[in-house]
Amino acid sequence: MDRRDFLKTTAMAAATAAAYRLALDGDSAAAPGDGPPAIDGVRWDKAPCRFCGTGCHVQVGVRGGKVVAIAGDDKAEVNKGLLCVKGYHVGLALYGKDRLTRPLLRRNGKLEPISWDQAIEIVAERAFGNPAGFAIYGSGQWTIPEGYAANKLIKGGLASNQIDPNARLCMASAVTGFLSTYGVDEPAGCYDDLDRADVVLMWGNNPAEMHPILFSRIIDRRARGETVRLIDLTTRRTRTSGFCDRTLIFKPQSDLAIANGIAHLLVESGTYDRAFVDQFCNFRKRTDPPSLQGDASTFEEYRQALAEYTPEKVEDISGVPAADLRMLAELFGRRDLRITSLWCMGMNQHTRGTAINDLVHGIHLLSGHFGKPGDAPTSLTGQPSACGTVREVGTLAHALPGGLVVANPEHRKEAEEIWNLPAGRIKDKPGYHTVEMWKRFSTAAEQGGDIDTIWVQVTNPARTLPNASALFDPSRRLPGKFLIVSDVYPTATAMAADLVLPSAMWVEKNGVFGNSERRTQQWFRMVQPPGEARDDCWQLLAVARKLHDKGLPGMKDKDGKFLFRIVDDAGQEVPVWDWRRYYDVNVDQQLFDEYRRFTRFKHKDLAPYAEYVKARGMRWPVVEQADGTWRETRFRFARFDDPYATKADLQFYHSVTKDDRALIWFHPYEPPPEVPDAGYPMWLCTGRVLEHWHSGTMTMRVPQLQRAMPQAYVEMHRDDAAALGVADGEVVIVESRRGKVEVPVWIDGRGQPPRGSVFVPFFDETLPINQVTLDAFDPLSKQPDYKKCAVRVRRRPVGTP
Amino acid sequence: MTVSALVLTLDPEPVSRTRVLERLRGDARLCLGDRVLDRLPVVAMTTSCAAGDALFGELGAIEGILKVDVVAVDFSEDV
Amino acid sequence: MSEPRRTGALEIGMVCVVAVAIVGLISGVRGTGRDVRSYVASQPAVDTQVAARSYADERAAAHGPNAEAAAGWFGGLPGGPDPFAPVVQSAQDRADALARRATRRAFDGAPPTIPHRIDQHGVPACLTCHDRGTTIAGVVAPRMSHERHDSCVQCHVVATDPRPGTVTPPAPDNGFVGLAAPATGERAWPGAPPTIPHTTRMRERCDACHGVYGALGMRSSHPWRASCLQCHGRSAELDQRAPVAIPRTP
Ligand code: SF4
Repeated sequence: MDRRDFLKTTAMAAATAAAYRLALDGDSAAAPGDGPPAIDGVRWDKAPCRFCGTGCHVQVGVRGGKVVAIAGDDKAEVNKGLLCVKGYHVGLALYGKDRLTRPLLRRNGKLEPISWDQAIEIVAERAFGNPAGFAIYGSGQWTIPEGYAANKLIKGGLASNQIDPNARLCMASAVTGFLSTYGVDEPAGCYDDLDRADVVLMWGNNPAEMHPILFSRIIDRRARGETVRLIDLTTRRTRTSGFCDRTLIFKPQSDLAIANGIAHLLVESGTYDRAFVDQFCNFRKRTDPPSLQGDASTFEEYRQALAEYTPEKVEDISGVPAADLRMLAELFGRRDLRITSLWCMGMNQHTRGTAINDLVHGIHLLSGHFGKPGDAPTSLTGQPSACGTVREVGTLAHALPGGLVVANPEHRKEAEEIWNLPAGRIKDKPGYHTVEMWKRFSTAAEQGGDIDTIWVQVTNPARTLPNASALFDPSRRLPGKFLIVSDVYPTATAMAADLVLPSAMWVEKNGVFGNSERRTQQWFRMVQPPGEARDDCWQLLAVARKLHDKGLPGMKDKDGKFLFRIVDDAGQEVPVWDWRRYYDVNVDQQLFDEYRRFTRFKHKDLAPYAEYVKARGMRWPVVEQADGTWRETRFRFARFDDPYATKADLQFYHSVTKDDRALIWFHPYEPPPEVPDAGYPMWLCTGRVLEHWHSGTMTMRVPQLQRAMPQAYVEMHRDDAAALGVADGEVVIVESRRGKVEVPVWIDGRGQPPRGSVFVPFFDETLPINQVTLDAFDPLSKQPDYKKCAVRVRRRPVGTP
Repeated sequence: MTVSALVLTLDPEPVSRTRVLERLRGDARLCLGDRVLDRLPVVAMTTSCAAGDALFGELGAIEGILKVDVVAVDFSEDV
Repeated sequence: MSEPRRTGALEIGMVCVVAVAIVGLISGVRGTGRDVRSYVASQPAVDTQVAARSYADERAAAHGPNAEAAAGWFGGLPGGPDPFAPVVQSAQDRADALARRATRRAFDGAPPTIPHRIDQHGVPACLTCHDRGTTIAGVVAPRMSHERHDSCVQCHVVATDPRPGTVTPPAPDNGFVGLAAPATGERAWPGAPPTIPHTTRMRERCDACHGVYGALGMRSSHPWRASCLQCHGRSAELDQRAPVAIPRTP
């Protein structure tokens, strides 16, 4: 090649690169040579789905600076190229016509546009004026760097611990269940169990709609000729039931009795796995008040406590025939079967949530159905990063990143060291859990309402808090209470706020999520956010910097440097609080790699950010190998796979009892706090539907999803409808002691509740069922029960339009 | 000899686009790259810097070319 | 050739019989569900109440593109389409077919919505018709384009409000512009077999759209040939089979 040809080739390469950049909206991420090729001008890149905790990977097709198509990602192990209807339409969630594009401030009752400078100043003033009364209410839909920044800002900066996430409402009981049983959070198994299990038992779970990809992963095995037995333990027939071999309908709350009934039969018939129990388990009983540690117990005590849970008595409590209980116990008693239990909100949103989680782990341990592929008690999460951002980053009022807690002086010391803070900066007293935080925000300062500002990010508490008329609404009338909401659409919460900050969403920003099977997933920004919308993480950093400039001492580390020091390659600080400079460096990468240092304490090791760029997610602990590669762990505590389990086939290396054993708990059946009576004769259960994500603020703006399920409804048994004299479609009043909502009847509906119970989904912002639900919660996890309360259903007065 | 790397923004209207492409193909000084949506990367080789300047003006004046971006110019062979 | 064809027709006939049986069952079960007027009769009349349909009404009720289907379930029974019949189709047919296709999906590659009613609370019997493809009273139930997945409603949702008797709120305003279906494939020379211009992911069964039950305009001139990829090339990039790109340095 002569010099001229060389010059020509180089020039052409430069011109082509520039043409790409110009054509694709100035997005440097789309330059050629460093991404997949473009066909029809469409560039494809990976991202985890924005919606549920399954954590599928999608391929996002971008052209002209806009998302134009979505495909399942063939290289993703979770979904192997398949998606559910939400996932296929996730790209449309960005383009609802009413995206928030400017900061808005409430003046004289009206939200009016203001500048970002003003908005950040206002937030900073609220925090500066009363740091102790300033709380952040976050989300399992936060990215890991966002949650980490918020956590550090509150716990390391404002030194108050007033941060809690909406995930408190969805998986706190799963956390306490894991902590009390294994001493460390999150499932030991993973989705691979579903490919191997002979029996899948679903405890109050409807994965056909809520975790569709996992459900297909199971039932598609049947299409391939494999045998897998599905058993549905549920309080109403759902889409899942249709695919199950057995559907056992039980009375609300009686899952506690069923679990004890199974354990009783295992013990009495001697079919429990004695060798397993002797080697790997200790027994535990409750303390009063309840605690995660409990008191030591023995097999004999356990056996006696179970004695009253005979099949007949359990049938009495639960309505599940004794023969079916025996069938369940026989399955668990067999060593030749692999059994996986799945559960989600049914067991977690429970005033005895910790107890039922413990009991289900207990059955698996007692029968030795644990630690082999296909033998696993696996809790599923609802949100895409409830595990990643909430449980692992510790954005809970009592937690620190990496499974550490504020109450432990050693843990505080570790955190202060990583954050380079003066000793004693982090406070030992946990902040308020969700229900308490909102209660205090909805109570006047004089009456003890010591939270005066809440900054909400990525969630819609006006519609998702239980008993919203008591926990949320009063704050909007009390003077001195200031609500800040970062969101992408005018949600019910945003519209009630004093200050609204427009956010970037999903592929409009860099991000990292962590799904239900300990899988950490990274993606890059692919398109620009609309108008003046900006990253939630930037918002947090900008406020932190403003507080720093105002002289709040907490915003500096012990060397006087800014708490969030982001640097360039040369080690020079980059002023990322200036939005124009925010993407000069990869802020996510720097926050993530700092956070990573926390993950080694509890053996939740993460790889460096750069490794996740290459992968479709990796399951922690991710451990570096001798050859410099990084290896993920599928089966925790199992010697054949977990590098930290070295002493025995199974090693519970964070055991509560410090002897590498897991705990089998006994908890009695206890009735729920509110049961139907003469005044309120029916059970109300709430939940989701396939098409919609949480309160519907995104999916209700996607035409295909909204058309398929355009409005909430109350599902009712045909005989109850007959007794009331209502027809399909008739609008009725569903009311409890706390509130009411008017909603059309769908006899049977998507699911089929048994007589005496109704179901209302919560996706519809216009029909807020959480005005009706109960705010009673589990004593340990503080997670409220959305699944059962007493209501009555009435016809509307004649002549109501 | 001056080598310039340029990006032309083409009118999206198909008829005018075809006309422009034909005309550019006929120009011996130009080497056309692969179009990306409405952007066309082009390498221009002119005898001198001044001639390159003139070509820049010429291209900008063609109907159907909305904009000419200069990415890089190599003067090393200019005498 | 006539022997295998006869078998094919017979099988399709069987499929229809099963379809009729199952649909009948579903309508029967659900029909009684909707007919709660009798319960209401003893209650004070409410003007605003939406009348529920009875089982008898059900046959006459409109079901989207299947509206007429109930009138002639058996019309499709005798014989399937003849794969050897010459295909006469125009560019206009193709444009029409693509336009119709576009109304049922958010972008090319999105799972199409369901243009008829389905059983909402059980497991809908989709595969009865869509596993093989069939025609019922002139309405084509296309064969599904991908391998069998049993939870069909996981990806495919109905296009209209499934709740009986309710007032449907207006559709949301969304500015998304989806990727359109691609142009025809490239031919190396006139007469060469064209390459496949779209991804074959979830579209491995070419005959779903290009076979005898395909829409006019999209049909193959030789639907009896089953090994399509023998002659028509796929795109590695579109199918996510391209070599893994070196990830961008963060
Ligand atoms: S199953 Fe969950 S993560 Fe997967 S595509 Fe559906 S909503 Fe997204």
